[in-house]
Amino acid sequence: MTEAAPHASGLLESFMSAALADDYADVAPPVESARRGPVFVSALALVAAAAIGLLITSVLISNLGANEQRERTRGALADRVTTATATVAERQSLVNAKQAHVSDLERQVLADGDVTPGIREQADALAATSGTLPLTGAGVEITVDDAPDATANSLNQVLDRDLQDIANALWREGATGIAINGHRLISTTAIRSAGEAIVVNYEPLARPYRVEAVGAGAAVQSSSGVGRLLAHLGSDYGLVAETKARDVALPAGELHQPRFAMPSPAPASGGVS
Amino acid sequence: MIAIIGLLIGVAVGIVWHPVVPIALQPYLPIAIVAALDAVFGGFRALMERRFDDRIFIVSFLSNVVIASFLVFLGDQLGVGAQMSTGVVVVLAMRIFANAAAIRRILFRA
Repeated sequence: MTEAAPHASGLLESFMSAALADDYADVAPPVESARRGPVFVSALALVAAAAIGLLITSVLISNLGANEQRERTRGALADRVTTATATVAERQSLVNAKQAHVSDLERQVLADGDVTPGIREQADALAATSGTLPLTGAGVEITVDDAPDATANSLNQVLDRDLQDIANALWREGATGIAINGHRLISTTAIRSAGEAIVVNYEPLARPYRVEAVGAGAAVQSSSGVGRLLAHLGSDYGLVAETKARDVALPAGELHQPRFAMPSPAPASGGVS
Repeated sequence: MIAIIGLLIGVAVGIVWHPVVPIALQPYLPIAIVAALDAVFGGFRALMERRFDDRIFIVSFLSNVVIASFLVFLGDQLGVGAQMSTGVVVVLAMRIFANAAAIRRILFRA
């Protein structure tokens, strides 16, 4: 195939024989010692070979360098994400402290005699429903995790949809408060996936997912709606779930932005809006 | 022999010197390397067949690299850069395989 075919007939054949012809085909008789040209030709050959070596080496080295560069960039980005997450956690705890302070002040104001009778009970009931106060009580803890042999982007992982279903089943079971990995579900909470992570209250969660609920004690039974849902997730997708009845303590919900509460225009008057 | 020494010198220089490839040349470098490899294999085969020739080695290296890079450059300008690269690489790879087969036949008689 590499020999130049003297009677190449077809177009392809002549193309192949020309393109694949041996460079040294014209150097006809094999001689005993390698042929030597003038010295400067040998020197040029040396330079050409050196150029080839340099070419190959430089590309290999620059490719390795590019990989290193990518790794460095990735590491730097990961560091920034970690720092930002820590900042968010720090500020969130500050917000929680302030919220607790606000709740205390609210109680003080409501404890004063000159407010409408019954408004304190009403405020307590609303706070429990809206999830702005911590909640403790008998309940269940459900731990769900990916299937042991789960691969990336497969359905054998816990999806945002699964956590939504579990939370809704717990509400149906009569739960009065739910938290996922320590994030309280309130009326404005979204359980979504962002990239590869599940996000609750704009915070990415890490596996395994721990769903705690106050109330909903019946969820431990396998015949309950929650039990059936978990069994279905286990048999269809291999998700691993464990349900335990225990006393749970839920944190207050993270209210990112009050919808109706407004700062009092005249703080001196002590009004609560 | 001279070619092998030159190759080693080039590799050593590359490792010591850490050359940075200009961005503008980067698309043509892989093609240039495949073309250079073709010249290397051809030269090695000729060496095995005892008909190596410095002049042919230089000419084949230079023409291979220049023509391959020019074809890819032209392809880029015409908007068929990827296809042109594929074509060039296919032809060069076939030549490399043919030369490798010849070298193998000489070395192992198989």
